[in-house]
Amino acid sequence: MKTVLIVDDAAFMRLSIRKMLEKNGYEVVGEAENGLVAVEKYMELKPDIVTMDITMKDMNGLEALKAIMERDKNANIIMVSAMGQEAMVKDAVLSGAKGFIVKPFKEETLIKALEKF
Amino acid sequence: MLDLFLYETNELIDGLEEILLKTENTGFSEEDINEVFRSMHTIKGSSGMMGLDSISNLTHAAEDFFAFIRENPNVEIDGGEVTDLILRVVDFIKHELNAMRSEDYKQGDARDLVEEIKEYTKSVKEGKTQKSFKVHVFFDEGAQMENIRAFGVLNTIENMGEVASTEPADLDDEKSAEEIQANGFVFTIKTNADENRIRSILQDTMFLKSLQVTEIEKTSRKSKINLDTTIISDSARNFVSVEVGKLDTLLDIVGELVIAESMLRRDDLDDEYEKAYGNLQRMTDELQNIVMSIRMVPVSGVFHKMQRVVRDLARKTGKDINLVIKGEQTEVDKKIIDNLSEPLIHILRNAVDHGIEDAVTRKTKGKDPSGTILLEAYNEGGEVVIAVFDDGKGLDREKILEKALSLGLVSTPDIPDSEVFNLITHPGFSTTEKVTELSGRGVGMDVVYQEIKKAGGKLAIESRKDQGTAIIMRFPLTLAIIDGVSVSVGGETYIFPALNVLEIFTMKDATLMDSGEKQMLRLRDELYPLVFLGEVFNTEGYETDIYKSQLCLVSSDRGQICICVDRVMNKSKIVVKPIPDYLLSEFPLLKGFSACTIMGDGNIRLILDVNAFT
Repeated sequence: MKTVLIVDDAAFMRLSIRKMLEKNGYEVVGEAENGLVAVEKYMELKPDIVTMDITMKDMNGLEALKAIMERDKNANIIMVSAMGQEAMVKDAVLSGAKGFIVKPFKEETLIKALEKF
Repeated sequence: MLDLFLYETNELIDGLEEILLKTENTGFSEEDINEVFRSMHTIKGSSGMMGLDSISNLTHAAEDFFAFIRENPNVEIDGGEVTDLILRVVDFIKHELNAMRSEDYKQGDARDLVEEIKEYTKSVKEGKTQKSFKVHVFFDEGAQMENIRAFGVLNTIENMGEVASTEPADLDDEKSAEEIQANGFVFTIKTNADENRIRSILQDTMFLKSLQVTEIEKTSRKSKINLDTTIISDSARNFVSVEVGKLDTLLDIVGELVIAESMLRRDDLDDEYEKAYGNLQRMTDELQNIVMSIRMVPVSGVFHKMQRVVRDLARKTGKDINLVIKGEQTEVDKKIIDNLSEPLIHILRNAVDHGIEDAVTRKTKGKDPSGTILLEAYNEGGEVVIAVFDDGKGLDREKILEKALSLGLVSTPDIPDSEVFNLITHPGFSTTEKVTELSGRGVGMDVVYQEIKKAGGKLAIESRKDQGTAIIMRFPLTLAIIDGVSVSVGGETYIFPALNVLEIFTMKDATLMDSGEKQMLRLRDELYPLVFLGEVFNTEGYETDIYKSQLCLVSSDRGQICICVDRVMNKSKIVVKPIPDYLLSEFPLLKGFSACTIMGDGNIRLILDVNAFT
């Protein structure tokens, strides 16, 4: 069973993603509400996959992505973006993000994005 | 010394260019490779002797490359790529050769190109010629931000090779996302990797719906050149090159000789004299023919230059164009050849830019997506015809008429097509940008017209909507000595170029038709306008009774007319001399004449310009 870390500043989003994942056989090993916590939790839990929101207080998703990639260049991080964040997503792709999904998304979209890992 | 170097190197370069343009399509034969190798070797040697290091180094690098592929006939090379590279060598040398004539000549810098050739040679030696692939990617529906996903794809594959082009081109444009959603994302990549490697790398792309990887055939090229005649190899010819100035002088002397000969003509011939005169006449004829034939040059040289022009234009515009050349061995006077390049380039540029549509438009019209331009030369009557046909969109009769009416060039829209299309040669018609776009053609057509006229030629334009346009140029075979028909009017003698005279007849064969303002003549069921030559020139004492006169049916640019003269005297060779400009401005009536000549009796006679009567 693949392990996932969910990073999002909105508890509602974290819960939605958790429900979708657990329904499809993923194990959610942790949640983080900002980038700083995300980096800490990643090092502690070493999840197979990270879903990373972009806009967050106390270190945004892009910075967190870079920090994690620096520590583990094989990390599988998927950005969770909103429309209008093209430039940030582009930067994330260049910085090693394995892909991205765009909010709002359906369950099947999320699962499709994760199934490559 | 320099002259000889320039002459020889130019010859080699011309030969090289010819080979390269041929091989772009057909690939290099063993003979081609040897020929290119030898040329490079020779230029290397002589430029080294001249102290021209940059040319010498450049040809050295090219020579090395061809030496390698000569010795390794099985090595795989991309003919198009090699052609491109070596054409750049040719261009550099050409540029240097031209620059060398100026006093403050400094050698150009060929180091980058030398490096490039060396690199290429290295890559061929290592057997690592790169292949090009076209990759077509579709993303799942609802993947969103497809442009950024495409960007991600490029980012993934970036270090595998060089991405040459993408479709859509601008991924930063947000609209490109929708485009990719609908048509997918396409790019071409030049890489050492093979198809499977590209597949496996892109396979893991998130939301990948489908992936197509196809190798781009090496021989697929933008411009193809077809020759339907074989090129005679240079070694088979045995030539001496002569300065054109000497030929001009020789022609002048022969002209004088023809006049001198006609001065010796007598009516009261005794046997002895007749024999001698006959001999002289025969020899001057022969001499004249030979001098004229020396001046005749096949159009192939100019035509081959046009291959390069069309190739470059096709590449620049991204259109797929076949240039078909026919009758390149047709010969014309050197003087005409010298004036032919510029108008031809103009015409071809128009055909490529404005005539031939892009592949998509052509497809929607149900045409072959690649356009065809036919460049043709042939003899017809005493004339040489050089024609350019394209299968493009044709001229827009309505728009040309509209513009011509607004410019006051014509007063009624009710004129035949041939006259409408000729309007684009009117100076001032084609000068404005707007008209060019409207008419679909017309860039510098007035310049073309003037150049052709200067060379003694005529221009006709034919066009049919969506079928294409034909630009037809007609040149006289020779410019200097022609057959003339002398006619007398009143006390004067004038000369028609024999080429223009179709028929000589009297009123026994024709009937006079009076249509009110204009007199017409009916000859074998055809009606022709009638002109009295004496009336036109106000000659004193000309025969006003048409039933006592003789008539000439002559052809002009604008049709056939009957010209009434007192008497048709004889036909003889005449030497054409231009009418001095100062005389033309002094006597406006001289505009009815194209040139003058000196007769056997020492008199100067005027040669009629038949176009002035219509």
